[in-house]
Amino acid sequence: MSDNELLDLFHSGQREKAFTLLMEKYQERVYWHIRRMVLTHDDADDVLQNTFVKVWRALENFRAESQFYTWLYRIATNEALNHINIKKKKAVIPFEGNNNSSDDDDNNFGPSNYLKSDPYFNGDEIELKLQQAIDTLPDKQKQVFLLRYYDEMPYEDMSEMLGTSVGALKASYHHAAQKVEAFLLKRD
Amino acid sequence: MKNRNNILDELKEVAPTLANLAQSDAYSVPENYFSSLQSKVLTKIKEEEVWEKASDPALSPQLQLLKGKKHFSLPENYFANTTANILSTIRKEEVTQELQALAPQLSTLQKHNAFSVPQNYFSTLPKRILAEVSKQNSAAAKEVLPSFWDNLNAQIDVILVAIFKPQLRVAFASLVAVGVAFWFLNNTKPTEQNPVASLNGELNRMSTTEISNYVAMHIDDYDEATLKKRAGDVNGMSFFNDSELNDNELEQILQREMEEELFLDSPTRKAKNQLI
Repeated sequence: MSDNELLDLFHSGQREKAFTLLMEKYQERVYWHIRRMVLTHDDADDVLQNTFVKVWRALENFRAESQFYTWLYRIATNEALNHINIKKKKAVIPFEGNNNSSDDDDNNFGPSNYLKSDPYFNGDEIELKLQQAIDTLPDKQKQVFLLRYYDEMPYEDMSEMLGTSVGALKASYHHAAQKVEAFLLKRD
Repeated sequence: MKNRNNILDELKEVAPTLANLAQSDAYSVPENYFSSLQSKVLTKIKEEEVWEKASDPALSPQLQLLKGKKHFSLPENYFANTTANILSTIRKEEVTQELQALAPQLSTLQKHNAFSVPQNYFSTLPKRILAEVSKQNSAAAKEVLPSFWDNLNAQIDVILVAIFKPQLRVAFASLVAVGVAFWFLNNTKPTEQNPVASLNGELNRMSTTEISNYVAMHIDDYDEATLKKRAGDVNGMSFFNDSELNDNELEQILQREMEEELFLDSPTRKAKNQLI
């Protein structure tokens, strides 16, 4: 069924059925989008649940002015960013002035440490390095990089989702890709 | 031969040039064509006989069953997805080429998924989400106002524990709570008869986590300097200067402000609105 048909089903009163079908359709794509941002399964699970709970609450008022999946991605992205920021703020900073995750080996809160302890991560050293590199990106660049690199999302769709011009998105992706490249080369 | 000569004579009369052309056969056949023709024709005849027998239900019921069936199939929605698949391939190529130009080293990495999920995670997810929604709806149905402020202050306290001095924490938490109340009043349509009830309704629809997230995301809006400035702004007084007050005095003022703000319908509040 198309998104519009599922939304019609929801508005016709079969809310749980329509919502379940929408979830089944998008849950994996959204999960992997979130997972690449927050990295661990437990965090991704929390964020994904919050995302869909919000979608459930807001679906009543959703009108198909934008594509459903764009709207869903936007909610998921905001939830993931909120989660990351709250986690950062709750973390006890080991020593003042060095909260840069690029110094991940010296930082207990960098991705290499919590990914190594995540039973649902089975990447090799290169994959770990890539995740470290992505983690050094500013939030906006990271978001654009993940959407382009992994989801292969066209800039036009990204623009609708993030409310940013295509040109600015291209610039962000270019900066991000070059930073990741530099990180990989530096560490090699 | 006589017949042939007659034809040639006739042609000479009608088209002498044509009749004088050397008669040669411009066409040829593959080598041994005629010698193998007989066996080819016989093979063909045998094949047709076999097929006729196979088509006879009495002689070959299995083949008869297969006859007329489509022996090839397509994946479901193959044609419906063709456009999407082609676009996806084009997109993939674009992204790959772009990456090769931008980051050659990165483009050589295989994009395999190093992350995994617990078994049956996705199959059970919709049920878990609906259960969570149901749980939250039940909780929201209860009157939460008396415990709401306690929860909010507790959440704020956790977030701020490493940031503010202990003396300022209570004052800050109170101010943020008032700020959240203001936000709701300014962004909702309270009924004229009962604005507090309307506020309660809005708060009931929000989870403590959401409010906590809101406060955490806007924590930078409430640094110590802003806190003090805001206290002065709320008072409508310009003499509020942090050099003139110690922390205890500041805390008392903020506490008093919070208490006044909570009485939204009080004459004090109305008078203050006129001043602001």
